[in-house]
Parts: sequence; structure tokens; C-alpha cells
Amino acid sequence: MNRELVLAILYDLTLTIGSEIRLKSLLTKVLQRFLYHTGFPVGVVLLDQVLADQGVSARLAAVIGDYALGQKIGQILTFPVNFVFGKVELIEDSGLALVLGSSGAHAYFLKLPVDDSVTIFLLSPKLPENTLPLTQIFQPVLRNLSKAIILCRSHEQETARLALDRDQARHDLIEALRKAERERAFQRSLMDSIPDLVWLKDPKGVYMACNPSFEKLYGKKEAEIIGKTDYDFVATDLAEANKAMDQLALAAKNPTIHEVWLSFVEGEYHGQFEITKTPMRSTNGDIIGVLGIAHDITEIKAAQIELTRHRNNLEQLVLERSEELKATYKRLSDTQFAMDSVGIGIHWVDARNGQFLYVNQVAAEMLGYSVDEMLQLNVADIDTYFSKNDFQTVTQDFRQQASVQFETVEITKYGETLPVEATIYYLPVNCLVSLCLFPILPNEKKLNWRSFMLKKQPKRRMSSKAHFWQTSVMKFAHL
Amino acid sequence: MTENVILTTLDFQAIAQILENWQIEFPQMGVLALLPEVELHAVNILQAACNEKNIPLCGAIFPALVTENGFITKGAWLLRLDKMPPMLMLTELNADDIDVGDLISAAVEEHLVQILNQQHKPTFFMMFFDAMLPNIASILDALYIRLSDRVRYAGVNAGSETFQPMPCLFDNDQIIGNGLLGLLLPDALSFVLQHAYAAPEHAMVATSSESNCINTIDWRSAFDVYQELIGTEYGIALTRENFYTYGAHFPFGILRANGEVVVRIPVAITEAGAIHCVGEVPENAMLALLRAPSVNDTQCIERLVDALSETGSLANASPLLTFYCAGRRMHLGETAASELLALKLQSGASILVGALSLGEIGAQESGYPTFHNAALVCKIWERI
Repeated sequence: MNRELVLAILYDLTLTIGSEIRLKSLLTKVLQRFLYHTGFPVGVVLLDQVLADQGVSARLAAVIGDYALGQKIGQILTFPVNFVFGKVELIEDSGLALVLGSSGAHAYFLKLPVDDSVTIFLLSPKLPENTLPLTQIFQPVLRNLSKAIILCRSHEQETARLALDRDQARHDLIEALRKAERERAFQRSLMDSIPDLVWLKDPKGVYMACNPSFEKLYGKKEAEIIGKTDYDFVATDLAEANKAMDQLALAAKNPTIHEVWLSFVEGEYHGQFEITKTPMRSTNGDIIGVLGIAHDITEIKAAQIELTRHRNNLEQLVLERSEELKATYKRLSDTQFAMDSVGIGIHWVDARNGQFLYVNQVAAEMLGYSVDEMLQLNVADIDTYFSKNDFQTVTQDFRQQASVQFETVEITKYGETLPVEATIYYLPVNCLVSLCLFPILPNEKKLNWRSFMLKKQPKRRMSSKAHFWQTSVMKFAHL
Repeated sequence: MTENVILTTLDFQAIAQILENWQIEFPQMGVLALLPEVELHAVNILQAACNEKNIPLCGAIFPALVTENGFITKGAWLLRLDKMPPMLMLTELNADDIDVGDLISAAVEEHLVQILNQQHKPTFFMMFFDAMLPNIASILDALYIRLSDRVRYAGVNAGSETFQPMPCLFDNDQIIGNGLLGLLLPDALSFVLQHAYAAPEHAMVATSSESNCINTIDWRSAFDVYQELIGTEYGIALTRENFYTYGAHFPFGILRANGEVVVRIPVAITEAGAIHCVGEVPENAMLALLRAPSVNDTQCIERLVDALSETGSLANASPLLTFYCAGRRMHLGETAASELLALKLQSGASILVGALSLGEIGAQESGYPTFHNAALVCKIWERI
């Protein structure tokens, strides 16, 4: 045996086996090398051999050199047990070609059992000339091939799992990028569309981004601004001031706010702006720059001045009006006092339904009511002449005559009758009826009536007004 | 009946007359032309003559032409194809972004459907590659996986013996380089290939190689090892200057279990001491340093004749299409002609027709195509 030649072939096969990590490639390359070295024209690999009732079922995994047989790759075929298991053998038997369904008349085959589940067949129509014992020299590499097949399969399973993970990660990344892009586009759109000036500088004062409103300040496009500092656009003293402001903002924990006047290159606008500067931080907390936002407050400031002026004027006006109101109130209070103090019962009545709107103390006490009680009543409750439902009709004549005077009888809270002289005034503007009642009493009755009323009324501390009324009635009774 | 092969001068009128005579008898004919590289400029004359008569043309340019009397560098061999077979011509096979095996297979398969329907079996896929393609062995591996036994394989490399790029494959309209000219011949007779280089006792490892370039052998500069071996084994003082002279005499062999060796003739060395061969050397392949057979070694011709005899057509005294490796001629020198004469006499061929080739493709002993150097490829050229 040519030892050098055997070693050369084994070396070549071993290297081929060791150089592949994918099963299909491994089987193809190994089969190619077997065909190359042995001179057999056709090679076949069976995988996943399983002992069955009819023999051994196995999957046709690779074929080289027989096109018709190659079309069956992947199919499960059944073989006689002696064709598959056992040792390496060179067999003269066309049965294998028949089982395989080969189109060639392959009378010889070299069986190379790799392990229990894998077999390689090399087929030939005639016995290839070989100077080496083919049944002996390949055994060592077959063991290696068995391990390589297991490794390739494990690798492919792991690769498939990693590929799934990768695909999922890629999908997630794409989604994240899409989301980030949407957010970026939204933020960019937002930044571009707001009228405020927005810019971002790095900690050294180099512009990193700005919006179109800011572009107008320097009369440059964003691309021309990025990478430059304020020193490239404004006078040194102003640039120094900006830089100082930026440093203050960077040092501060919260946004810093200051007001400045800005002169725009584009449009030559000059206005007052409120500038908010906020330190920008990365996710790990490092300062990455200063975000500046300048809001035009020129009009607001002007409005504030005007508002202050108006407020001052208004305060003066209110002061003046307050004085007038005080005087009016005093006059009203005096009138009220007069109304309450006069010895005539005075009522203001809603001309539409006869409801009392105002009664003075005299009018209430005259009939034994309190003022509040009486304000719950209607004219019809104290005077049978009137009716609740047709007050408007009954009083029609009074309205036409502006004022009417007549005698009538009132009913007190306690059911007593009280003859009175009534005077009615009609006030068309407010749709009011002023009803003035004067009691008509004989002298003796005046006293009895007074006594009766005093009996009926609950004992109470006499108010100054009650005293006044008592006094008034007394005076009235003596008339 | 007219001869189906003619050696002609590249004269328009002479060619036109040959074509006219052939076309009368074979109106569906085509022409396979073999030209020596010095006649490259005359391809357009051939194209014009064929185009005038609407005769399909295909051909290749080689270092020299083969006759039974030796090698010539003037004129052209015209081989009549009685009925023009399916032909394919592909170029730019050296591009990085293509799978050459798939490209060629797909082109062949287009024709195969029709051929197999017409029961033309077996079909010979005769290939003429530009020798400048560095990966022909790999292409053959890919072709065998895809085309399998639907065709038989044979072929040679064309081009310049200087191994400088040169357009060397042509049809009626174009002449291309870095390509393939293929013919699907409906012929039951086999091509045979033989070189008779024997496997030696000692082997070494090509520890670093890339395509057809051996960078290191046994972990040392390839040239240093080669130089040392030739000095030790054969007492020859090899230098960079005389490298090309000796390369053909002491080629590398890639060993196979069936006792055959695949010859790789070294043709150039680089500054770094890497050795360029004609044909690929697999990385980490076990190499042997071969000694080329002497002219007295008649094994090659005997084996060729035996193989041709198996085809059963030698008694027909037909022309014998013969491609003779340029490296082999370099090794044998003037006596290479003697080998050709022996071939003619022993084969009983009426005439030897062929060219010097720069690499040979054959399926020796099996259907698996292998790329060789230093070999002869022969085929009885009967009516095709």
C-alpha cells in the first residue's frame, strides 16, 4: 500500500470534512471528494435511517452524478438491511440502483456506513480501477464524518434559532426605527412649525440644530449654522453674553429664563424675546447641550403696559363711582326710613297679579302681620274687593286714572275687619301699583281695636319701629 | 463524399470555396475552426466568409495547430459539423458577482430539453474555456452537481501560450475572452483523455493555496521547496530565470485513490515565491512532485489507443481530433511530434486534426469531469 498516497487522500478528506459547517454543503463536498478519489461516477447519501418491518427506511439527502436520482432528494426510501448496515463493502449488485430508482445501470457500489443513521453509496456501472483497498482506507474519516454531521445539524439548529432571534430583533429594530423616525419627524415638524426660535448647542456652544424661525435670526440656513458658534454670526460682546447665559443654563438644574431684545437679519425685525434655556442630558445623565427657545413677547409687553394704564384708570373710576354710590345709598336709606317711618300703610304691588312687593312696617302691623309675612301675601288676601285671578282686570280702571281713592275693608291676620281709606297709584313704567291705606276708625273703636291688636299679638320686646307704630296709631286714633 | 476537416490558409476566397463545397452537400452545416494565435487577426476573414453563406461558425484560438507531422502556426483547421449542434457562448465569467456553474448549467439546460426530446443521447458537452479563467476545476465541480449524467464532459483551454489575456473564442459576430464556447454534440463516441504521469512515492502539502496559486508548501515558500526538491531529486539548479523551462518537466500532481494523478504545470512565480499553475490547486491539497514521462514512454499513446478502440470506430480511418497540451510539448520538445505520429499510426486515423491546448478536461474512467494539464484529448471526428 502506498502509505503516502493513503495519507494524502485521508488528509484531503479530513480537511474537507472539517471545513464545512452546513450539512448540505458538507455532504456535497465530501461526496465530491469521494467521487474524485475513487473514480465512481455517482454518489448518494442516506440520512435518518430507521429500522422498519420491510427493511431500513432512510431519507435521500444528497446525490451527485445521477440527475434522475437527484430529483428524489428528500424522499424516504426503503432499503434491504444488508445494503445499509454493516462494514465498508464493495458489492456487485445492481439491486441498490433498482431500489434507488437510478437511471444508470450501476452494477457495483461501495457501501460506506458512516454510523447507524447515515450511509454513503458510491455507484458505478463497472468496477473502477483502484490501486488502494477502498474498503479499508476510508474507515477513519467516516467516524470523523459522523461527528461532523452531528455538529453541522446542531449548528444548523442553533443557526436557525439564532436566525429567528435575529429576524425578531431585526423586526423589533425596524419597528423601533420606524417609531423613532416617526417621533423624530414629528419633533422636527413640531420644531419647524412653531413660531418660537428653537436651537440646540453642544456644551462648547457649537450649534447642533435649529428651526426655520431661528434661521431668520442669522439669515442662514440650518446647514450653514450647524457646526458654528455665535462668534460666527454676532459681535464678540454679544457672543460672549450668549456664552455666559449658556454656561449658567448648563450649571442650573432647572430651566433659566431671561428677556432680551433680538435683531433679525432676515426681515430686519427687532423684538423683545423671552429666552428659556434648558440643559439637555443623554440617557445616562451626561450633558449633551443646551436647548434654547425664544418666544416673542414684544406684543405682550406692549399689551401689559396698556393694561396697567387701563387698570390705573379703572381704579380711579371705581373710586369715583363708589363715592357716588355711597351718596345714592344714603339717599335711598333716607327714603326707606321715611317710608318706614310714615304713619301710613304703604304697599307696592305687582300690577299684574296683586302680589305684595314691598310693605312698610305700618302697613304690616296695621293688619297684624310682620313685614316678611305680608310679603308672602296677595292684595286679595287682605281685601275681599280684589281677586287673585282677575287682579289685572279689577285694577284696569285704576291704571287708566293714574290714582284712585276709595274706602274699603281690610281683613287682619286674625280675621277681624278693618275699614280703611285706600289710595292707589299706578306706575306704568315698573308695572307697579302703590297702595296706600289709611284706617277709618271711630274714637272708641280706635281704642278697642288697639287693645284687641295688642292682645292678639305675641308678647315681644317692643322695637323702636313698633313703638313708633304704636305711637302713630295712637296719634292716628285721636284724629 | 467531401472531407469533413480541412487545413486551409486564411484566405477569403479559399475559405469561401471550401464552405461552398460543403454547403451543397450539408445545407444545415456549421463550422468549428481552430486557429493558431498568430492568426488572431484573421478571425474576421473567417467570420465574413461564413456570414456570406449564412453558415454558423464557432471556434477558438490556440498556441499552435496539431497535425500528424507536428505543430504549425499558420492557417486554420476547419471542421465541418454536418448539422450545426446547439452552441452557447458566455463571456465575463471572471466577474465576481456571478455563479459561473449556475450560469453555464442554465444555458446548457435550455438546449437539453430540446435535445433530450429528440432522443439525442448521450450528449457531449464540449467546452472551450479561455485559459485565463483561474477556477475551471471548480466550475466543473459545479457543472457535475447540476447537470450530472445528462451530458458527458470534454474540453480544452484556448488562449495564448504566453498566458497573456487575449480574446480567443469566437462565433460569427464576436471574439471574446474570459469566456466559454460550448457545443452540445449528439455523438455516441467518447472523448478520451490521457497523460500517463505516474504518482510518485513522496508527497508534500500545499499548506496555502488560492485558486491556481500555491503560496506555501510544507509551511515554507513554495518556490524554495520546489527549488530544493528539484535540486535534491534531479540535481537541477533551479533559478527564477530558468523556472519556466523546468516547470513543464517537473509538474505537481494532485493524488487520487484510483492511482491517477491530476497534473498541475507550474508556469510562473511571484516576487514572494508563490507558484502559479495552470489549473486550481485545492487548499491544503497533498501534492506530489512529478517527473514527466520521456518520449520513450509509450504508455500514454497506448492507453489512448486502447480507449479509442473501446469506442469501436478506429477501423473507420476517420480524422482524429487531437488536443495536445502545450506544457507537454514544452517538456517533450521536438520529440512531441514523434508522439503525435505514433498516435496517428497506432490509432489508424486518417489524419490528426487539432491544436495545442492550455489545459484539458475529461472524464477519465468515470463520468466526473476533471481538469488536467499535460494531457492529450482525442476524439474520432466522424460525421457529426
